[in-house]
Amino acid sequence: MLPPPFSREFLNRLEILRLKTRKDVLGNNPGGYMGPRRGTSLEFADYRRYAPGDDLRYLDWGVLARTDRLYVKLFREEVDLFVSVFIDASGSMLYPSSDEKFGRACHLGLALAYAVLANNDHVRFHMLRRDAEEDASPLFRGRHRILDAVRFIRDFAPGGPVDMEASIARHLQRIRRPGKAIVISDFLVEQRDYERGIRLLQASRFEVTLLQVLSRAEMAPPFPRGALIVEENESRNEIRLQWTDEVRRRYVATLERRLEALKIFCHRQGIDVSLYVTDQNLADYVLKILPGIGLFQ
Amino acid sequence: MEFLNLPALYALGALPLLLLPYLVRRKPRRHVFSSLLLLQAFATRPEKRFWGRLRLPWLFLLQLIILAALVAAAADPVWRSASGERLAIFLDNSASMQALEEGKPRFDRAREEALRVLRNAAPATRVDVYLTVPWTGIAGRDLEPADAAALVRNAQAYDLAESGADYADLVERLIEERDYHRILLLTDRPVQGGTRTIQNATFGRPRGNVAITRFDLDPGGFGSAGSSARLEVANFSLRERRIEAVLFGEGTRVATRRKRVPAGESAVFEFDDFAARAYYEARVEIDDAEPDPLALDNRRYAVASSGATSSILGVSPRPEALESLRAVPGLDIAVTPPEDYRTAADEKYGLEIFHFAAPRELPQNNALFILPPEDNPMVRLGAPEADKGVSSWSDVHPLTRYVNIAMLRPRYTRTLEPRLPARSILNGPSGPLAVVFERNGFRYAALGFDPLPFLGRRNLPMSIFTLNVLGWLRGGMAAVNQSTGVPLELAGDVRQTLTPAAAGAPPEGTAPSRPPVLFQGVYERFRNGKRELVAVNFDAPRESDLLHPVPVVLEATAGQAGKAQGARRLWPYVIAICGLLLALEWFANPPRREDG
Repeated sequence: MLPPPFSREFLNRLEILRLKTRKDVLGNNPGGYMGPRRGTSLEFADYRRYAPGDDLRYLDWGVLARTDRLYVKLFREEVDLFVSVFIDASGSMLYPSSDEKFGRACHLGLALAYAVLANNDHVRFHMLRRDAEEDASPLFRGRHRILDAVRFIRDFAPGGPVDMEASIARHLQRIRRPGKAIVISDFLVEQRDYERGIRLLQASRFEVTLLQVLSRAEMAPPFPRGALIVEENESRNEIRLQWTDEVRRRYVATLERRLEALKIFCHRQGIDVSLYVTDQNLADYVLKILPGIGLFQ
Repeated sequence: MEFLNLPALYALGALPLLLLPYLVRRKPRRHVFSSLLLLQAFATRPEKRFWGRLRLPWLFLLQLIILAALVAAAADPVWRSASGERLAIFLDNSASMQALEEGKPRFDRAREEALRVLRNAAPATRVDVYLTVPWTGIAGRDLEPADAAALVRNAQAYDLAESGADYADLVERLIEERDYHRILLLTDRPVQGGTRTIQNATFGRPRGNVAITRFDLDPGGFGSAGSSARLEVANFSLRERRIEAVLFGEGTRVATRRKRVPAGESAVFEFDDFAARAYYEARVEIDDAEPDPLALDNRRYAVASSGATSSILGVSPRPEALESLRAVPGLDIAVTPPEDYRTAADEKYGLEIFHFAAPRELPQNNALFILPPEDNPMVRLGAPEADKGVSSWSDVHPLTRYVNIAMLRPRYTRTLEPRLPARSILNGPSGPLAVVFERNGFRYAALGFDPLPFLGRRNLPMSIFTLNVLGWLRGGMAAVNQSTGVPLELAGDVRQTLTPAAAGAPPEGTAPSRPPVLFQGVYERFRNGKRELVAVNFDAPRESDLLHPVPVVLEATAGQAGKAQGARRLWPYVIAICGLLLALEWFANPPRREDG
C-alpha cells in the first residue's frame, strides 16, 4: 500500500516522466538511455570500413555508389538506467518530526523511484547514516517493486549523526554500475563535508542531482523570544542563545547564504539542485519544479 | 503638586515585581532543533550566577514608567495654585482617643499625623482646626500652618464623648459651606463614604475594654445602718475577664470584690456597711495578661450625701397620700398644695416630691414626679392604662433592688416619654413607667403610676420600690454627682480638684461663662459659703465600647464641589500620558503570533 500522497492520478503522471541524463550511462540491458558503446539504436554514431562478417544491412549504399568503398554505419547503444537514491537518514531529518521531514524526503525519493521503475529501469535506495546495517536496498526493477521499496523505507529507523563523505564512500563500494545519483538531504552539515561526498559521487562517474529538503520550522524557527537552550537532534549537543527578532533575522540571512553556497557549488560542478520545503505539495513539486531544473526529460 | 490619595502610592513598592516576568524569561527554555550549524554564531556563554545577567530592554523602562504613572494617577495628584490651599483638620479629642495603641495614646498618634501634614503644607495654606469635644466645632480659624501646628500641639484629649451622628453631619455641612480643598479627618472611628477630598486616618483598632458604667452610693438610712455602694462594670470584649473592683474612700482602700464577667455582659459589684467618707473612688483592675487599653473608664468617683437632712417637701393636691410617708422611719416630710410650692421651695428641702403636680421648670433639687400633669418639664404622658403591670425592668439599678417585680402591679399606669435624656427603669407593655436621670448634680425620677399611699408590709413590693426611689433620690441629697461635659456651677470662684491630682481645669476661652468639666474627678466648690464636693464622671458607655466603634458615615458626594474648585486634578492627564506610552509600546513591540 502506497502512502497517501501517491494517488492514482499522481502515479499516472509519474509514469510518463523519464529521468534525463546528460551523459552516457552504463546499462545492463537494452533500454531508453544512450550508452557509451555502439549498438543497435536508431541514432547514428559513426562509419567504419566494412570488415568481413559485418551485417550487410548496415552497409551505406550511398557511400559505396559515390566512392566505391564499403562502409558500414554504426549506431549508439541504448541501455537501461541505474538510479541510486541517497536519502539522508540522520537525526537532523527527524525535526520537527520524522513524518514531516524524513517521511517527506522518503516520499520524494519514492516518487522519483516510481518514475524510474515505470520506465523499467533500476533503482536502489541508500540510506545515509553512520554505521548503519542494512542501509541499502536491493536493486529494484519493474513498477511492481515499488511496494518493496516502500517496505524497505518503512522498516528503516533513521537517527543519529552522519558523515556524508564516509557514508557515500561506503555505499559506493557496493555499487558496480554508475548511473544517476539523486541525493536527498537537508545538507545541514559543514559545507566541505557534503562537497566531498558529492565529489566522490562525481568521481565515481555518477550524474548527480541534489534535492535539499527543509521543513518550514527550519526556514523560520518557532522559538519564543528570550533565553533558550537549543539541543541538536543529531548529536545531542546544546547551545544557549538569546532569541530576539534581530537573531531571527540574522538566522534567516545565514540560512539563505547557506542555500546560495550550495547552489554555487552545484553550478560549478554541473549538478542539478532544488529545494523542497516540506509544506509544499509533493505532486506539484515533482511534476512542476523538478522538470524545471532538468531532472526529467 | 500633591496627592489626595496617599495610600495608593504604597503600590509603588510593588513596581519591582515588574522584574519578575523578565527574570522568568531569563530562565532559558529548552528546544530541540535539527542542527546547531546555523545557530552557533548566536550562542551566548552560560551564566554563572543562577539568575543570569539581567538584560532589561528599553521596553522595561517604558513599562516601568507606565505602571508608575498609573499608580500616580490612582493617588489622585492635584496641582494647587500658589494662592493657597484651604485645609481643614478635624482632630478627634474625645475620650476614646486616650486609649493606648502599642503603648501610645491614639490621640498622640493623630496629633503627630496632623503636625506632619502641617509641616508639609505650603506657607500660603490657610488652616481651620476643628476639635470634636467638648463640642464639635472650630478651635482655630484661618490659621497659618505654623499657628495651626501650635494649636494642635496644645490640644489634648478630654474625658468626654462625642456624638457620632452630629460629628458626621457637621463635617459634611462644613465641607459644603466652607469649600475646603482638603479635609484631614483624624479619628479612632472608622470612616465610611466621602470622597478623596477627605483624607481620613483611623487610629486604633477595635479592642476589648472593661469600663465602669455606673457607680451608685447609698449613704444609708431608710432601713440600712452603714453606707453601701453598687458598681456596675461592663465587659466590652470578646472573652470573659476576671475583674477586681476596689473601693477607695478618701484615698483609703475600703473594700475589694472580684468577679468573672462574661464577654459582652455587665456585672454588679456591691459594697455594704462601710463607714461614711466624704468622697469615694471605685477602680477596676483586670486580672489578665492583656492590659486594658482605656484607663479612663476604669475609675469612677462618687460623693456621699452629707446626711445632714432627710427632710422632704411634698407637693400634692392630695396631701393624705404623701402624709403616709411619715410611716418611714427617719423621714421628715412637709406637704404643701401646688399653689404654695414657690414659697415652700425656698426652705431648701433635700428632696421634692410632686404628686399629681409639677413646677413649670425643673427644680434645682432632687425631685420625684408622680403622675405629673401634662405641662411638667420632665416627661410627656401617654394614655391611661389599667392593670397592665410591668413587663421589663433594669435589674442593675438601685430602684429595682430587692423588689419582686412580678408582684409589682400598679392598677393605673401611664407611659412616660422623657423630655430629656433619661434612663428607663421600669417598662410596661406600652412604654416606660419609671425613668430617672441626673443633671447638674441633682437626681430626678418620674413615675407613671402612683406608689402612694405607703402601705408598708401590706404591699411589700410597692413599699420596697418606694423606699428604693426615696433612697436613690436621697443619695443625691447634698451630694453632687454629674457627668463630664456638663458645666459645673462654681460659686465663690474657688476651684480645686481633690482627686485625681493630675486632673486638668477647663480650658480658657472655650466657654467663659459656664465652662464644661472636661476631666473626671472629685471637685470641690463653695456655694453660699458652704463647701460642696462634686463627683464628675465620664459617663458614656458607648464611647467605652472600643470593640464596636461608631462609624462616621459621610455622604458619598461630600466634598466633591470643593475639590473641583480648589485644585486642578491631574489624573486625567496622567492617564492620557499612559495611553500614549502604551500606544508607543504597541508600535514598538506589536504583539504577534509566535511562529509555529
